[in-house]
Amino acid sequence: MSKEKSKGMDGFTQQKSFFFPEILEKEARDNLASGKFRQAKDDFKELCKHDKEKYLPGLLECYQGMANQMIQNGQLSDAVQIVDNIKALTGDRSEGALDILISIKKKDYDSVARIYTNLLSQGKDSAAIPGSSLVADALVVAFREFPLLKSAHHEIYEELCAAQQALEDICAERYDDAWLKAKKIGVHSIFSNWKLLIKGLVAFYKYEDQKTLEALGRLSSDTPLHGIAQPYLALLGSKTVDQKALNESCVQRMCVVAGYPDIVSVMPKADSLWHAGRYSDSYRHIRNNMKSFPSESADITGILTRFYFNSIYHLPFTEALRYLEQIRDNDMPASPERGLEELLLCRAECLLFEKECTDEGDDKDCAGGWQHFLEIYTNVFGDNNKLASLVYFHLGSMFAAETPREPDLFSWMSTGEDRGRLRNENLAGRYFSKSIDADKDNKDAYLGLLKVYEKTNNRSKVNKLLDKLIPLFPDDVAILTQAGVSCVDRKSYNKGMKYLEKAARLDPLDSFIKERLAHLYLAAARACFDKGQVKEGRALYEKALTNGTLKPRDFNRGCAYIYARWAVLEFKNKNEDAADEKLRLAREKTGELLPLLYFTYLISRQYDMPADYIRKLGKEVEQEWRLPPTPVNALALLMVYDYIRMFGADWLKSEMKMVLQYALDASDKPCSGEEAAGIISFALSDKQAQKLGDVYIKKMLLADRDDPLFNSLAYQLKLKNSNCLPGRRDLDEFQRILHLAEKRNNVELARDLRKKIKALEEMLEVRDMLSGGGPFDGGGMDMDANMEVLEKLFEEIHRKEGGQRRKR
Amino acid sequence: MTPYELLGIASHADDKTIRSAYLELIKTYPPDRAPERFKEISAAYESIKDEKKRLEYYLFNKDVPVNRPLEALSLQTQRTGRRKPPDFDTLKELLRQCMTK
Repeated sequence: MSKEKSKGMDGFTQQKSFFFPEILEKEARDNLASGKFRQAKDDFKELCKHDKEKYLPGLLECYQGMANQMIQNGQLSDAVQIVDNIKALTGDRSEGALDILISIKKKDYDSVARIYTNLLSQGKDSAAIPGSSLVADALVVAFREFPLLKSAHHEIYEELCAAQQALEDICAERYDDAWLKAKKIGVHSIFSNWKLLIKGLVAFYKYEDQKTLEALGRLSSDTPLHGIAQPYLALLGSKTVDQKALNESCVQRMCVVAGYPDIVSVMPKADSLWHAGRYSDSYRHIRNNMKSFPSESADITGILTRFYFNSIYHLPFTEALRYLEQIRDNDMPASPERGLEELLLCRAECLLFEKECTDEGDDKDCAGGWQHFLEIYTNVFGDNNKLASLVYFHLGSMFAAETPREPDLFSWMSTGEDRGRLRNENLAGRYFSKSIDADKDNKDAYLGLLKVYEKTNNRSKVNKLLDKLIPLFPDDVAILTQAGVSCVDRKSYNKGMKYLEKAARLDPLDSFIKERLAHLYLAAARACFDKGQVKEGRALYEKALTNGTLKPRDFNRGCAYIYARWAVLEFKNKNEDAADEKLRLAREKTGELLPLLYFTYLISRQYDMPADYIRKLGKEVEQEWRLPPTPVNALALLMVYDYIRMFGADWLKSEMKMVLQYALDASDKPCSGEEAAGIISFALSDKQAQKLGDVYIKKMLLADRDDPLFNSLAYQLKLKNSNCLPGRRDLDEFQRILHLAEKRNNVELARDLRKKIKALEEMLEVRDMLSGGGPFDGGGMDMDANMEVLEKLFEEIHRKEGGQRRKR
Repeated sequence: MTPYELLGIASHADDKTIRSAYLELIKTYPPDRAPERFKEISAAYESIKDEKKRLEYYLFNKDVPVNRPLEALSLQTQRTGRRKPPDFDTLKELLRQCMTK
């Protein structure tokens, strides 16, 4: 402000004070309260002319405020002037708190100690002296002796020395000594914050993290010691530290206190670059400035290596691609790290791109990528056959993955396995073989190759490989089982029995093995009886019984059904007494006579028994058949029929009609949910049984309209027998049934319905796309009239599922 | 954290060492008293218990140990045996820097 203007202002103020001292006083106090000390000082100076006694304290407060501001701003000579003004006004020339602050700023620790000592000598309590904690901080970080303090105030001096020596002990890793010294500092001492800091640091370096967090967490943010506590707290992941807001100096301190001074200049920038999304720049900064990076060590270099190379998989694909390309572009000289970097880059590329392979060309590139990886690995680390075997196995597995075949219209409703073709059978076979060549003990590779041969229907290769595997892995249950099943398929029963029985001994609880054994015994026994080898056949049936079960409707392992078969074959070999005995035993073992008799009757026909025997059995069946039909029997008969039709015989067609009629006749009898569900499931599997399904569904829904299971079965039956493609109405209906299932807490049904709904939604999405973006319809579509759309639908589903086009 | 770090062993440890470390840890964290930790330890053991598993881990693992480079410092500090204090001159300098703020 110019002098003229200032004079003018003074004149104005004088006028104001003359006329309105209250106004000036208010203005002065307002300025003082809002920290405008200079303006307030001018006002109070003016007021002091009128009443010094009243307004002097205010004026002194202004000067103190100004002095504090100047000290903060580093205007120390101006501050000294102000302090002199204060002393002149008060008449007290002794040094006080402001002098201490000025000395601290000037790093004149002798003066700090002198002034403080003088103040203590005047009888002032140490904690009551303003700024005493700052004094304590200043004295400690001076890290030297203060004889004046020592002679005047020994206790405070002792505490000061304790703090300084404890810090030195920490740096020399004498943690217990450090804490012993720090314990001398009193709870109310001006050095109490230092005690907390020392406690925290000792705990940190002794790995007592909880103690560290407690001690350092108690340092408030207005003490400078908070600044040294922050890096320790950040290193321990304290929630009091905002990791995202750490500034560069804090990060640098973290590196130092953690024992990594060599990365002080590297870490802050690398971290901030990554945080800003400049991933490749962050990588390059670390790579160019950090020794031994990248590395596979267990230290921080190793952690950073894993971070930078594995982050690739967690970025969106285009970003990951850009990141890889940018970090590939480097001019690092040849070194062990360069070789490792190449290796890690190659691995990253292989893992990133293999998900994107969609055709044969990509497959070859993918395989080439891994091959290149192995070459680099050999250059960097030397040969490793086991690693190579694993890489080849990985490739083999990838190429052996099954791709779904063209979906049929109701594949979304199917419950069976969708067995498609292999992604690339040639490459799959090649790489499994390479895996085996690299490591002859890689069992998984053998099994993979076996699967490829099976999927490509190469039976002779399957059998040869199995024969090779048995001596290599003689106690492997999976291999024994597979070998056994293969032998049964080619009617090599003795060999198959050897393998499967051994597998069963090794894993007695595996039900799959028991099932396979059952098949084997039955097939082998029949073969023996057919050849007239009765003794051998009997021995096999005995074994089948040992492997048997008393479950009522297990037609392979159920003892009643084994005896039934046995009886038939004994009769075929003209051993009537033995046949009768076996039949008697069969009846004993079963709780359901009609199904047993019916089974025996059908099996006899299947086994080409003499006509009179079949007739005799037929009469027995008829006798039982004439009794009032029951749903439980109906279900059992349907199951028997279903089992026998696996053998595929034309004469079964007439049996179907009879069994269906029986089940229809039984429909007016009381029926359990399980029985009804079983009967309806049969109806779902055979279009001829639709009416049967309808009858039982109607029966069950009449009893309970909201039964979710039967609502679901009803709808499935309707769709199965419909000529229309499913539409949105069907989706709504499934949602309704799902709601019923959830209400009744039918977890399994609900899960099944959700799967169906999801599959249907996906199908409808594709159809909507084909129809030009909008929702397609509210109902079905006539297949016959729109074959072109259907073909497009199949193509689209294929493309979405990533399937390959197959050349036929 | 890698399975090696979780089990507290070096990355070149053999089958026997890995198994011993695993057994020791599950004594401290049994399934009834620390089910989550037990699961972590068991999963870590399964992923490196033999040479084949270790090689598979080496080839195919995609775990990211931290979310940003700075966290590597925290991870290293918290998990491993290295906590060396700075020398006295460096500590003095750090303390003085804090005083001038």
